[in-house]
Amino acid sequence: MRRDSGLPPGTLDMLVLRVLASEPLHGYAIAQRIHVLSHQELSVEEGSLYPALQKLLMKGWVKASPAVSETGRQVREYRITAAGKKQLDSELNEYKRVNHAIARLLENA
Amino acid sequence: MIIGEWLRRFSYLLNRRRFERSLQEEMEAHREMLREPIRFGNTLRLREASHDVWGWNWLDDLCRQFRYALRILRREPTFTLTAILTLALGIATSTTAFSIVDAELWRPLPFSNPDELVAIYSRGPSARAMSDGISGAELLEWRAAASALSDIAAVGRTSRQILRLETAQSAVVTEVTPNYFALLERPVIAGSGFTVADAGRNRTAVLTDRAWRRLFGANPSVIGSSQTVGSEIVFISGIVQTDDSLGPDPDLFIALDESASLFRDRTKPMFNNAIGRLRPDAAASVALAQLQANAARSRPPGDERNGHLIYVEGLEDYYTGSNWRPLYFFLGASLIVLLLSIINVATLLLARAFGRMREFAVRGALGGAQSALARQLLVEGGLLATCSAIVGFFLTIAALRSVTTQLPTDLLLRGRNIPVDFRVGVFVLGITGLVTLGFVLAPLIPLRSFDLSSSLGHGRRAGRLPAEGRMRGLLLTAQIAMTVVLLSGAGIFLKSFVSLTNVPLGFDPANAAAIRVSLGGPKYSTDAAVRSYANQLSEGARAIPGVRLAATASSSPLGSGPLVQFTVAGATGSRPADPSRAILRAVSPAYFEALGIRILRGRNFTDGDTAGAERVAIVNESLARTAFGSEDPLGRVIELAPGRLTWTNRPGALLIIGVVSNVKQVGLNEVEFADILVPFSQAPAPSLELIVRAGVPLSTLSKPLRDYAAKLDPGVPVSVVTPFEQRVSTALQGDRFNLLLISGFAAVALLLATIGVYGVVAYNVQARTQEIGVRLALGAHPARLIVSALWYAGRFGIAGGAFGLAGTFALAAVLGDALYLVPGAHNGLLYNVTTTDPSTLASAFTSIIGVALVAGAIPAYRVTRVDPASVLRND
Repeated sequence: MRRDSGLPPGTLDMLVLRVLASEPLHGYAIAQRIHVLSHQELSVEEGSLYPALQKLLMKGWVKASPAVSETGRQVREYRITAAGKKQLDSELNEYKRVNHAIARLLENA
Repeated sequence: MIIGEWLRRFSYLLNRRRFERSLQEEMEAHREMLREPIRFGNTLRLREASHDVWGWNWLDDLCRQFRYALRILRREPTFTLTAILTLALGIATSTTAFSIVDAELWRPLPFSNPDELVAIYSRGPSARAMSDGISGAELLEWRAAASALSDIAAVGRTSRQILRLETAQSAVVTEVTPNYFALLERPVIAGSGFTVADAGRNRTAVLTDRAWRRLFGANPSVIGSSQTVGSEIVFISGIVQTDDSLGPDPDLFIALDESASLFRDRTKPMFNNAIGRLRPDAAASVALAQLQANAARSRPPGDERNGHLIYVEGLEDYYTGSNWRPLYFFLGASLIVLLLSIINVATLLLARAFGRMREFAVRGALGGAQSALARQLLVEGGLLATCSAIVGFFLTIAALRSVTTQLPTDLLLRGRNIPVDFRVGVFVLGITGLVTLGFVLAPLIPLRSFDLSSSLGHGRRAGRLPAEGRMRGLLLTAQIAMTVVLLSGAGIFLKSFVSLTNVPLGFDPANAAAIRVSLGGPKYSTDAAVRSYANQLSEGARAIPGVRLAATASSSPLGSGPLVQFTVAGATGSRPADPSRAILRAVSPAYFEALGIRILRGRNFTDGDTAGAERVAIVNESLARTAFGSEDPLGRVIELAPGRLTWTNRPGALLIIGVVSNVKQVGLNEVEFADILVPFSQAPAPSLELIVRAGVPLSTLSKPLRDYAAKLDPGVPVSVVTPFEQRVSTALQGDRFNLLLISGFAAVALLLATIGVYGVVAYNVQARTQEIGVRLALGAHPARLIVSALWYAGRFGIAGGAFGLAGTFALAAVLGDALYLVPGAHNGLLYNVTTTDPSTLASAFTSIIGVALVAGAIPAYRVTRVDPASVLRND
């Protein structure tokens, strides 16, 4: 059932927040944006996207407002909050720190 | 941060429908936009996964389990109702009893810093000694001497006075020292306490708000007005909140004038006790030492109170010291009922648990996790406990409401305002809840060792489980034992009550009645005026058709009367001139015949025993025996000490001219009092009773008697006509209440025990169906099998009964003589019966065995309905 998304575990929240930091988007657009911006390397499945969005909503990192999709459907548009931006920053820093450490280890070992 | 998250979670919970709809919509949109919509996952599963994130799954589970539990409980209405009502009964009885005891004994006095308040009194060293009177002069001395006390106040005489409003109203008036309210820090609702200066020469008075409503219709203009009370005019300075915690409040408090010569007179006792407030840092022992030292210094050598001690004790103890026995007794009985109800519910739950074994075996076999099953059972138990708590709460409110109106007045000394004690309610609920939850889990305990194949395999009930049998047997035995304790108690109280109803009263209450009239004001300030009114009243009453005899008296049997001190004049060395106390009563000659009181020796009063003639007295048997022993009291002289009322304050010698039989003075269960009766003409009491003996029904005389009294002097308040039979029944009210209460407890216990025995025997017979079938098939006589089943029931009766008797004896040993009448008192709990009355205990024992056999008989009889053929076929 589950298709490999190519995402390292735990990074989905960060990616969603990062995409939303540029502009408010609805669910499908988020998935598209991640797919396109990663040069088709990463793909987010609806099965993990929607639960992840619920979590962000609950944590207060994003807000949802009603909007209309390109196909004329009632959808919700997600918008990052101030708390979300702070969370994104701290996650990015953490990510970079770990990434950097791993990279150094791989080069020097 | 966390709070915000929880707020969002709650808003999700509240708007769940809308939220899920928009999510659904969103997913549909997403799917449409995909190039391969088929690849979009299952939206239902996706929505569930999204819902999980919000963390409300446990609530959904709980709701589901709750609905399931409701369905299960509704399926067994008899079990559910029995369990809920039993628990509610236990909760309500114990909470009610605790609330009453707390309000009466444990609740601190409703004054600020109640620990600082002390009662101060002086009395002789003997246990029966009554407290000495305290004069105003002495009170002033105490204030100066006891520096550990910030102030000392005292409550003086309480009397009934006539309040002249538009009509004459009778009001209870108490004299207090002016610092009384300030010392207790009792709140003044309106106006001020005794601090006003503009009262002029009149004394100031303070109304209680109860009297303000009753007498003045809550009219605020009464503050600052002058009112005629008795023969004086008082200035009403304010209204205080009614507070019955130190005995019932009067209608009116009047300030004593501490500079008056009467107050300063050392020889005039005005108070029985004083109330002091300790300084915040002072101990009662210091105050006691200071007062003791003062008494040793100031009492003159010849003072009769030399050797008497001063006592300083907590005010609360002083005012509640007398009535703890019946209260603790009820508390104990209610605790037994609580225990019984818990045991009964435990038994019910156990029986049901083993009945549901199969259901749980199946659910376990189908993969139901132990924890899920446990949670399900706990929800059921919680539901039962919650329902019981709600029912119990309402029962408690109803019980407290009816108890405070039904309970005899001498049991509730600290007022009738008894709130539900929620601390106890929660505590009791906690216990019952824990027990319910504990026993509701019973089906899980043996589950591990439970042989599933034997439960499911044969399609019949599992064989008898020894653990269950033992547990139920133990619980049932304990239950029966407690029932026997309560049954014995009820039997003893019944016996006591029957003895009380047969107790000789010393007078004949049938066809006799009394009306009280209170004469007051300047018109009746002389003896002659009172005497003439009394004569006219009794003569006029005798003229009413149907009245056979009419007499006047200051009080009458079961109506008590003022106590006076007396000494026997010319007492020989063997009988020292100890002052003794007796009830003084002024009566007209017709009194004895009207009430059927026998004159044993000597003569009755005559019309010749008037004001100017030699002062004479008739004494009762009790006084004759204690004061004169075997000597003849006729012709002897007793010396009266000064009294506190105008008509009792006639010290001097009285010649004894007769001896009458004892009458009950306060209650039916009393240690006999010494009585001194004097001719009404020689001591005309302004508050008097007209006593009539009638040849026609008393009810027809009520109106003519009252009309006549109203005609004689419309300004005199007249009470209702009280038949003496009503007084006797009122005197029995407390005992009747005790009997009803304990019988009620015993009846509930008996009912629960009957249900218990029935259940255990029925279960036993059912579990042995197979064995019985085989025996019947082998030719056993059904009667023998019935007898063996009955024996099974009887065994519980015998074992429980024996334990119960042992418990009763142990309880009797612990209680000692706490339930009996102590010398010098009245209203003991028991009369003429001991707490280990052999015949009562024997009948409790035999009746519990009888009940066990009867309860076991119906299920035992089912033995004969076992069809051997079908039993064998099933195997």
